[in-house]
Amino acid sequence: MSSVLALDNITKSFPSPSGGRIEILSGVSISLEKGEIVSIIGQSGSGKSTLLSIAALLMSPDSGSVRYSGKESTGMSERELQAIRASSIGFIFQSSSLLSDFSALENTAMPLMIQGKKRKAAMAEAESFLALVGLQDRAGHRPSELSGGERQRAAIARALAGNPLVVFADEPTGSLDEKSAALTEEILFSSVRNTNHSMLLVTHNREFARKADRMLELREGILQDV
Amino acid sequence: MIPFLALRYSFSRSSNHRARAVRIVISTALSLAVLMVTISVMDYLQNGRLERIRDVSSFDITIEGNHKEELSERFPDSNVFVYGECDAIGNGSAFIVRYIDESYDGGLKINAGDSSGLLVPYNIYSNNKSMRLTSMAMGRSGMMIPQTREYRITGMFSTSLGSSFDSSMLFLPLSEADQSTPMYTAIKGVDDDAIISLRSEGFEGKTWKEKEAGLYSAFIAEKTMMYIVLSLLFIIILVSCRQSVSIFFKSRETELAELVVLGLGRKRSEAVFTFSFMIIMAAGILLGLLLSLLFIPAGEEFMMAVLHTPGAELSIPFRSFAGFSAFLIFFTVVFSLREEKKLSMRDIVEVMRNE
Repeated sequence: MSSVLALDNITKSFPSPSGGRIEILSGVSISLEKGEIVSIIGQSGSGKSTLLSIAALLMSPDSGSVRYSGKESTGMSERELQAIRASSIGFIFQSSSLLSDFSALENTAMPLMIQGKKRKAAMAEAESFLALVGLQDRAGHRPSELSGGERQRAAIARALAGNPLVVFADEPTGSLDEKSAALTEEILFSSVRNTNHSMLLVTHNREFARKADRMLELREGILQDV
Repeated sequence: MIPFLALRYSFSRSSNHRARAVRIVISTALSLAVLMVTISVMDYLQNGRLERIRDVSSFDITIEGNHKEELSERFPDSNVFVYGECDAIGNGSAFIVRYIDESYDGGLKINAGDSSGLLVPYNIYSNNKSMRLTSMAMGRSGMMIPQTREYRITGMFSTSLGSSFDSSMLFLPLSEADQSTPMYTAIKGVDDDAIISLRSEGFEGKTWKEKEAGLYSAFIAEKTMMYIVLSLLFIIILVSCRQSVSIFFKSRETELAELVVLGLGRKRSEAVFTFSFMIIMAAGILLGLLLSLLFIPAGEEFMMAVLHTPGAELSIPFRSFAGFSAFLIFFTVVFSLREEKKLSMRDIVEVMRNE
């Protein structure tokens, strides 16, 4: 199997309040195969979200390389990174990051429109992704008219709609109650598996993380198999 | 894609964002309307009232003596006429007595036919009225000799500005003038500079600026004040516009970050919100035009009621409106670019986490 995403020897540090720098990631390497789901667990502040942001090209590492389908992203221009983000990345944040002025269907269709699809075609395609997460009846509702769980499901639909190489999920159930979290977890895994997408999931919930094909733990800036 | 997103953000469904957009539209519209009413009133005062007072009390060039034929030939496109003028006392008041005839088609006749033009009280007697006046006439020996008699008055004009260049004038037919009354030849519709060549040819005379130095200074002062007031108003509008742009971009920071994460790219995402703000401003400018159309007639009513100006006619300064609107749009773009630059310094992940 070929790696859709490969992170090699990533380091990242941030300025410390007392001067100097705190190293969050100390030579992290990870690769993700097509259709594979990998979860990363770790304590708060261990650098999980930072690693996810670097992998999703939202943050640049101090050193190391990020490759999508073997293509090196280090040194790419903002325009090239933007093209990768539009075509290869789907992102689900802890708090749903749906666009508040757009309906669930429009939100789901957004990655397709950004990729250049006509609005009508994008909306038609998006409907099937909303159905995948069980929100076909809530298509016309705006985020403020959806529950927290429904918003996260719409975010899952949106992340998958653009047919990305990798879906990144940063604590996707972190802000939900137990019942909604369980339902969202189930929908997230089933929809990602059904569409044969790869996913890198960050969570502090071990039970949730165990559902992945592979579970890693980020401890003291280094990734270890669990 | 960008217009679709921008339109949606301009006419947001979220009550908070919609209320913010409405506030921007209303403040822009009100600011522009106030600016337009101010320009309109100032234009009226500048070009209407004072110009007409100047037309009555003085002329472009005044030459001593009767040189009507000579100057008419020289300035065929101008109105050249003869008038006499002296000081007089009557009914316990001091007047300037001016003798004029039909050849004078200047300010008095225009204002007599269109009384709405003057902001100050004045009277034009349609039926001749008599008044006993003591005028200062030149005696044979060159001494000023008071002469008292009944005069047939055809009009009276008072600037009533309550200032040093205030004057009350009595108008009489030219045929009533005594032989000793100093006569002048007035030229209307000629450039001030013509006085230089006339003087070099031996004519003695003055331009209106020299004759009415006080009034001329008032013109300049008023014009300067007008520019200062308009500049201050415009600065206030710009400050308000800058704040609106800043608040608008701040309130949309997370959505902008989301669009970047979705792959729209920073530049295009920023363009969405700049375009969105421009749509809101355009709505404000259009409403401003409508409000100006409503407020300017109200301004006329106000001037008539409070300033006792019968039939004050204020015109809508469309050119100024277009100019100020263009400036406003230009500065909106500048302020938006500045906000975009500030936002581009922000870490997207940080913005998303602080949501």
